[in-house]
Amino acid sequence: MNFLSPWFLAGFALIAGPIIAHLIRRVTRERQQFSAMRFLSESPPRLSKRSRIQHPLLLLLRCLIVAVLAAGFARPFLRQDVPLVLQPGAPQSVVALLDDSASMRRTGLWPAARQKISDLAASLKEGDQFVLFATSGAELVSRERWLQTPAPDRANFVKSVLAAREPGWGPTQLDTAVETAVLQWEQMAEATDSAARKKLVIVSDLAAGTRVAGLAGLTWPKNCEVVLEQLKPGQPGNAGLQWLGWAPDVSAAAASGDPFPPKAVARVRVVQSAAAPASPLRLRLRDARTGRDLAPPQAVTVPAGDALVALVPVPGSAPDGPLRLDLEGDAEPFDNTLWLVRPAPRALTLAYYGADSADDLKHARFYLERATAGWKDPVVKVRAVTEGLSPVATAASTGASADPKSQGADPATAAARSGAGATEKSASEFSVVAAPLTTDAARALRARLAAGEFAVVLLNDPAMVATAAELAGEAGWAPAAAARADALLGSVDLRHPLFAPFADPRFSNFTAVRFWKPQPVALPIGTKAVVAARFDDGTPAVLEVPVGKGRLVVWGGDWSTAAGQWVISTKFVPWLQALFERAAGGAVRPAVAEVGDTARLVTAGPAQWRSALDSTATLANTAPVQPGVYELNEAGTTLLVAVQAPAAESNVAPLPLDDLEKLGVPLRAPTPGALAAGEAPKPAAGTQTAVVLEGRQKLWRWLLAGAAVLLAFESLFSYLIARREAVPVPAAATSS
Amino acid sequence: MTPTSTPPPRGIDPQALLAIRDLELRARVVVEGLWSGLHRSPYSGFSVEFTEYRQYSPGDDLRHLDWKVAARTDREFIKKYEEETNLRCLFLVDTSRSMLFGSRGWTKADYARTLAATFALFLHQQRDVIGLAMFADEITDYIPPRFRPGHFRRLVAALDREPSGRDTRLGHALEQAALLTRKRSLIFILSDFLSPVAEWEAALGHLTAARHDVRVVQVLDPAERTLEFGTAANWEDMETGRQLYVDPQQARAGYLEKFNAHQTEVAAAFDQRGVAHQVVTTDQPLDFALLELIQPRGAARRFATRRIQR
Repeated sequence: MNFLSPWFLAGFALIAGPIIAHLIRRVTRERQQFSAMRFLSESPPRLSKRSRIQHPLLLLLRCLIVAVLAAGFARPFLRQDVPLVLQPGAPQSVVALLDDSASMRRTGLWPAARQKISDLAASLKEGDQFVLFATSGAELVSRERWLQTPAPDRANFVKSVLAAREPGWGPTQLDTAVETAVLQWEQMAEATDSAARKKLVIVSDLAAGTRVAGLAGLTWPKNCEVVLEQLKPGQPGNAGLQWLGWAPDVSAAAASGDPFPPKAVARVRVVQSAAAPASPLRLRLRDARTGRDLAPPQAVTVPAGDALVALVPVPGSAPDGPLRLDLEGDAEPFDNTLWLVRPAPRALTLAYYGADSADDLKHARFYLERATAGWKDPVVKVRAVTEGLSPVATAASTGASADPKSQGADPATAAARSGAGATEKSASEFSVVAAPLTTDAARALRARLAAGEFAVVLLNDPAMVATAAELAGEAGWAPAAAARADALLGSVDLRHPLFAPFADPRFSNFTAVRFWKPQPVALPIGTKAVVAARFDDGTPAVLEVPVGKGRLVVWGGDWSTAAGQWVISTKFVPWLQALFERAAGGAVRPAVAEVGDTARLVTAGPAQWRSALDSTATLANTAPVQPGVYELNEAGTTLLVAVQAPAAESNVAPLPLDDLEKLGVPLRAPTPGALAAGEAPKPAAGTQTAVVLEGRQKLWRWLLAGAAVLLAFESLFSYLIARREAVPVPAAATSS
Repeated sequence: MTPTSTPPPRGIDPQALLAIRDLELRARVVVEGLWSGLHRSPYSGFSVEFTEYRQYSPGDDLRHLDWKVAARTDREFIKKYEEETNLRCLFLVDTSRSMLFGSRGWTKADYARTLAATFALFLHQQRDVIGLAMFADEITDYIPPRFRPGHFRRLVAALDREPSGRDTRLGHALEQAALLTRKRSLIFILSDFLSPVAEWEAALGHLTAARHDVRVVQVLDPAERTLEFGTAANWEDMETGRQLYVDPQQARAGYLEKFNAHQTEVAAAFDQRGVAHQVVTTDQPLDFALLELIQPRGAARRFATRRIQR
């Protein structure tokens, strides 16, 4: 029996308390009234009984309680419980985890790790099983391969496998790797002797950036132990770069007197580990493809153990391609490069079919221009289209003055668009039809819709229904009469993409939006139109019709304050933006990812990656495994992605081993020599081992429970004794 | 003289009796049983018949002149009235604080009051004149001996009053009783007589010297006689408040010695003055205590004999 906190055993001295209490003759405080006191004389104290212990059983119980509590606080453990000395002949199932994360690229770590694994493999006996995994998930030495290799050649085989291996760029996901190891044990147990000792050897730098949270829920098999081989790097410290984003405002950097205003400003964090030597650091911005310097180096000073946010302006003379930012002055280069891809906002032209003025409050164009102004992505530019409108519509808006600029630009674009090459630019135009179209114009628009464009038809007039039907390519659409002039949206399909942004119950209340000129549509049977919202009388209010690759949205009414409150409601702009984003190819996606985390960029379908820095690179189905700039090809779209080294890897401070113990890892102290069977652990590891043993045995819980039981007995005995000694109360002062 | 340690078969259990809250009812329960048990009343001589004529002498109240005899014989005789021949009885009941002790669930005061009420009822039914004086350090309640309707009720009501709970000054109370009782009376003293004999001996002598027939009932708690009571604790005197650490196991022998000496002294004091002395303990059936009281033996018999000869 050993104790983790033996100084608590001093609590045994407290046993003297109950003993003294029992030795002291209890001074009675009872009073008794008596009439014939005249004949009584005072009794002498019972000196003869002074040394006698009262209620020895009770005293024993109380002393036991104190002793058990003191022993519990001292946290006892049984050293012989866990066999620390391996049985020389017992087979072992050894799983080795080799950390191949980016932080292992530090000086001296990788050769040391290889040496550790080689030593381990050489120390194993013939009957032992061995599996070697990398923390990135790669199986370096499989069990079958180990068993197939003749025993004398195994160490050399492992060495040869390691010689061809270099550390990767990914994060250290130790929890996932350990889960794999536990699964491997299960397979080994199925195959062979399940009672074999299980040993997990983790060879890693165990930096603070290691992900261990997943170990908390892990169920460890019986009879297993974890040996940590924490590697010490050649260089104590590390400085790293972390990507924060593009600064929203470039004006601050522009004020520095640069004759060429910067195109963008990158925000990066420079982190310096606590153990780093004080050395000057510089940030150098380069062209990623050519490596040419784009700006003079920028000096940064970061105190040890601190971090600093630096703003790096990209000069106006810089090319549009990807950039790289290097941190100079750090001995560990693995996290000193950031790859920069500047955001490319998507441009979307809003073609407004109607002769309305941009300043006319009664028409949709006024509201559309104001709703889309200032969007960052997509950047919307409104273009009024007056060609192709039916004469009735043109005549109706005689008072409207068409925008001369847009009119002048229109013929060429319209001509180009009506051609067969419209497919190329289809995703860059969004049409809002607010006036009836001629048959030709409708056909041309329908062709563009089929190629992937989006359009909205506003039924501001019963005659618009025919245009909508023409664009939808369906016959039988007819204007229906609204039941009431004052309508609400009665039912809204919040699962439909048009209204999905309002699916949250906080935003799904449409009852505050009234429509005074609803224009429902009577749809034929078998229509492809999907009703996304209905008026409260049940007639369709908002329809979406798939036309080829594109979509046609039909709105049952006008977009103006004269027709209803929709355009001035809080839902108009979000609704419009969601629709425009769909038209522009989906929501904005981040163009920055870390190695090992690129999968979240893939939204739909199979993705293909290609390095953007190497012109000879070909498309591959595998995600990037090293930092750089990549093209992500997915569902016909191309996204330029900057892939960085994991930011967590920059945190190279040693991981506190207490954290692993708290997570329930059955640790055994790292004892380099003790990897071979049959060796006793070094005394230096004694404390660590004691903590682990005590944490696993938790004998103090039993002692505390025992103390509680004893306390219950003590209470019972005290009660019984008190009842037995209870004095019959005299009937003094009681009256009949 | 000594109380029976085992209750007689016919006795009324004091516990059951004292559980009756109404003192008068309590008294009646005892007296009814007593009558049925008595074959011959020892007090039949107290009959209230006419006794004698006496020669008129000037100054006598003319209301008492027997006019018939005067008319027939022309001599004036005074007719002696009935009440003169009746027994005058005064109960002196101790209500001091020491009487509030009781180890059996009821106190000595309860017992003494019941005893007094019972005997008073017994005498009342014989048309005797009864009075009551309750005392602690002095007489606190005094009801003169009378025989009139409702008198017994008054007496019971006075007895029923809660005791005042003061110190005992028996001698002083007896002096007062002697002053209050001018006519020859039968005086019952119900007390525990735990105070020193010297304190009240002289006053008792005054009472007997005034030719009162004094009879004493010493009411004691069984615990007072044996000290089979209590545990080692701080014992407090009920009258003085004096505290002593007493272990009854150890103190018993000394206590019994002193107590018995006191009892002997008390008995001697009574015997010396011809006072009938009876010790009752509160665990004794009341009717038996009463029977002992009205069937005098020993010293009491001498007293009774003298009374009957009167």
